[in-house]
Amino acid sequence: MTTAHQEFLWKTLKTIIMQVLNQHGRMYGYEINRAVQNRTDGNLTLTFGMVYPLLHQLEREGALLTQTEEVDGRPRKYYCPRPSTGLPTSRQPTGHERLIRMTQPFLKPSSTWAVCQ
Amino acid sequence: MIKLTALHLQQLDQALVRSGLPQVLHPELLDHLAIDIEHAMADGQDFSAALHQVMQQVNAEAIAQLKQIDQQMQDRAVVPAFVNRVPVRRYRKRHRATDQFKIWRQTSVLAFVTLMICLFWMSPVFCIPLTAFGSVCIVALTSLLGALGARLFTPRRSRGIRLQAA
Repeated sequence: MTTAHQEFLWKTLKTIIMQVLNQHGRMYGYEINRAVQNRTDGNLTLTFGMVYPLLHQLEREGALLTQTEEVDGRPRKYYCPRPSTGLPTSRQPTGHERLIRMTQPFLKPSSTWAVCQ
Repeated sequence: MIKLTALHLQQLDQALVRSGLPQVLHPELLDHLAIDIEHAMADGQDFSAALHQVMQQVNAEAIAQLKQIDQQMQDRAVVPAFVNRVPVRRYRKRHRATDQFKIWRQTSVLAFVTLMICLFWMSPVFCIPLTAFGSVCIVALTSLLGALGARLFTPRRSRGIRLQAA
């Protein structure tokens, strides 16, 4: 994988994780993975090798707040999006989110597509 | 839902330590794999089989990839703003003459000259000997010439202090 490809992949996964957390609020890593699987009907599974480094990176960037609690005799780290200082409904989409939305029309199958003969 | 006992968690913890996973991710991976084992045990597997199945995910390739990703993430960590600040060497700064000070200085000289002219003109009335004016004028002129000479012939560097970037 090239660096640019990795960068694109990480940004896409970060966008997905932030969207899931913004919708559900406080979640832990396994729960985030399960939510992504449910949303994509099992087509996208985030391995633990990808989820946790991404969550740590988002925490270092200040996008997420964390809280560790003991559940069933083991520590569990919960992540939640850092609340913005402005109105919660006025969150602007990032450049990467806009790119994903722009490519969506090209990925949907259309009946009006021309067929090469 | 089956919950792992303290002994189970200890065995899982030892397995994670033996696998060589990055220490910073250890607590979260312990919880993640524990949930996987609980799901496997809920499907009818015993703990040993579930642990063996789960630890197959934690193979050498996955660990190497995880370490690589974690290291790359840390390398691209946000640099604090103060690290990029350019250090500035500061010298002892002398306050420069402001416009107000210059006006006051010029006004004082003019006032002194005006006063001397008035006293010279009024000297017969006040019975002031002319020799006194001569002495005062000589002293004043000498001081003025000395100040001008010091300003003109003093090297430029020692006259003012400037801030320089390192």
